[in-house]
Amino acid sequence: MKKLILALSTFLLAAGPAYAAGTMRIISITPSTTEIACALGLEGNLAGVTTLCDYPPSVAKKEKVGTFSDPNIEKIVMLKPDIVLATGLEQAQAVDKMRRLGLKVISVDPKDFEGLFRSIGEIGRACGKDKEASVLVGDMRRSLDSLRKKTDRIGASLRPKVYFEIWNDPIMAAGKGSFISEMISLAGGINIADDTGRPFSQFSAELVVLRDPDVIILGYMAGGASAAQSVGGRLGWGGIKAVKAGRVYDDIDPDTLFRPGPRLIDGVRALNDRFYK
Amino acid sequence: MKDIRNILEDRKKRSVKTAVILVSLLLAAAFISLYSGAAKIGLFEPLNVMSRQILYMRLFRIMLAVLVGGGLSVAGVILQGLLRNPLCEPYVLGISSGASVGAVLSIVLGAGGMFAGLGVLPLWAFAGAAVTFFAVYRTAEVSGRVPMQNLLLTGVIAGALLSSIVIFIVSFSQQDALHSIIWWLLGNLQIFDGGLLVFVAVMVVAGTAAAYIFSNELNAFALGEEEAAHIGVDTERMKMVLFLTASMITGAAVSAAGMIGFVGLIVPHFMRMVVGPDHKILIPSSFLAGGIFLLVCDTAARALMPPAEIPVGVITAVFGAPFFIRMLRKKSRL
Repeated sequence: MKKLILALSTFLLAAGPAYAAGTMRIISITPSTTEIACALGLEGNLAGVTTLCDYPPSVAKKEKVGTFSDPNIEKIVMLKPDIVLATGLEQAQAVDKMRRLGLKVISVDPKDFEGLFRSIGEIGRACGKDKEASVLVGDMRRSLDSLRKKTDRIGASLRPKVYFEIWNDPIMAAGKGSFISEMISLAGGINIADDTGRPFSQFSAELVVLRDPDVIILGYMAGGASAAQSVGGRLGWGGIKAVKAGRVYDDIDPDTLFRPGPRLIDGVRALNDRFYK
Repeated sequence: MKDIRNILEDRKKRSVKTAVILVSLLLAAAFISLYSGAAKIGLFEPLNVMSRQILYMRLFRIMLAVLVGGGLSVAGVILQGLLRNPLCEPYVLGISSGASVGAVLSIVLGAGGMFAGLGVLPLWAFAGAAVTFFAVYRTAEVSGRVPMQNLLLTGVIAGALLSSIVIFIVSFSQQDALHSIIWWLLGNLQIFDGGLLVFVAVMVVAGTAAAYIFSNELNAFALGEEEAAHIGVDTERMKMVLFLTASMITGAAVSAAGMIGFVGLIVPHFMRMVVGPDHKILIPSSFLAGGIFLLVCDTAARALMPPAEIPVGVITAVFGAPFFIRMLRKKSRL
């Protein structure tokens, strides 16, 4: 009898969440949570995404519930979701409205990798994909650890100084407290803008010259002529080491650098690759 | 007769005095600005390659600040003078919003790179400004004449329309990068392109010279449009020339530095309080004062919070507003 109860409860425990996940309707209103949900095997449960959600490519076929900055609450309510996935600051108002309408909203706003792992866990728990979430987090941790093992051996004086440009007019850099800064250090580089003390700010152009980075990464895709050329052509920037050595890169997919989801690992790898080319 | 000669003599003396004061202030501000910034460069320190590059960058930025600040102030003087409205500033005709539509389009359409030695974004912005000016001017025209009130209203409405077009494109574009246009709109005087500086210099200097040449006509307009016509001013033609001048200066300034507010509004008022309403003195002194004001604000923007920079538009408002209000109160007490 005892065995039977045990077997039954094990069955229920295993099948319960799986059953829930099978019919659960999820709406994701940020590209990053869409990526997390799909990585947890919830793509089939997605009842709606935003127009900005483009990864994995197959989510393009999903119902659209507006833009990232302006999700259509009426449409979201009409689609009768069990859970809505959203992000913090920019969507606080929309999240508030949806909660008042009685929707269950999971709002995640990770600031670093540890926070991202917690967010993935939270989404996994809410959507009955606990196990998948811990597998995904474990994989991501292992990738970072193996990279760290490689970069830890490199002494501080041998690490490249990195200037990561988020935008060019005005020039914006990522300081401490941003994913970018953490990713640069995980990839084995030294961020020259760490001392701005805030995640994103307008950065002093003359300090880029003074701090003379070995590598410059552009976090945007500039159309037309190569952005690398235009950086070298800037007044006063011709003597910067990265420019002289031709180490200005604009070929990393910005989504792997800016979207707090599983693909950030690809971003860190890409950075590491450019730093030690 | 002797009295008039005395008055003219006195005016000449005063304008020479004003010019000397303003030019020395400008030179002093430029010198201080050259040696302030996030990178510390001592005055007597021997220059190496790097510090020479940095001083060179600062010099270009100083020149742009003076040109943009001076140009926006002259444009403000022209518009306030013609429209006889104290709220007028260079952006009132929608020119700047037209420029931002141009800038946004250049990003959306992925038009990067260079054209004829100039970055493409400033060219698009300037084209947007020019198209807006001619569209606004033609729309305001009624049977061959352009009534001032029509022009002002058309400009304000066009500005509102174009700003919402910018917001529409930004919120519906798939490009994350486009959100950065918000930063561009806040204004920034870092210049990486010598060609762009030459372009702004040509537009601003030519525009200021044109405004100076027509300062008698501007004085006549101060009496009212009809009165100006009575003393023999070809008002329709002058309006076209002067509005075009103000708009080309504004378009060039905005395309190089974004929308820096406040300069074009307060400097003309301030200088009118100091040197009086005669445009022959008001235009050159507003150019110099606007240059000094924006240069000081930009130096603060780049030196106050290193390694970060403060958007210069924030500084112009924070410094400018209290200063201006104090000046206004002082004047009304007299």
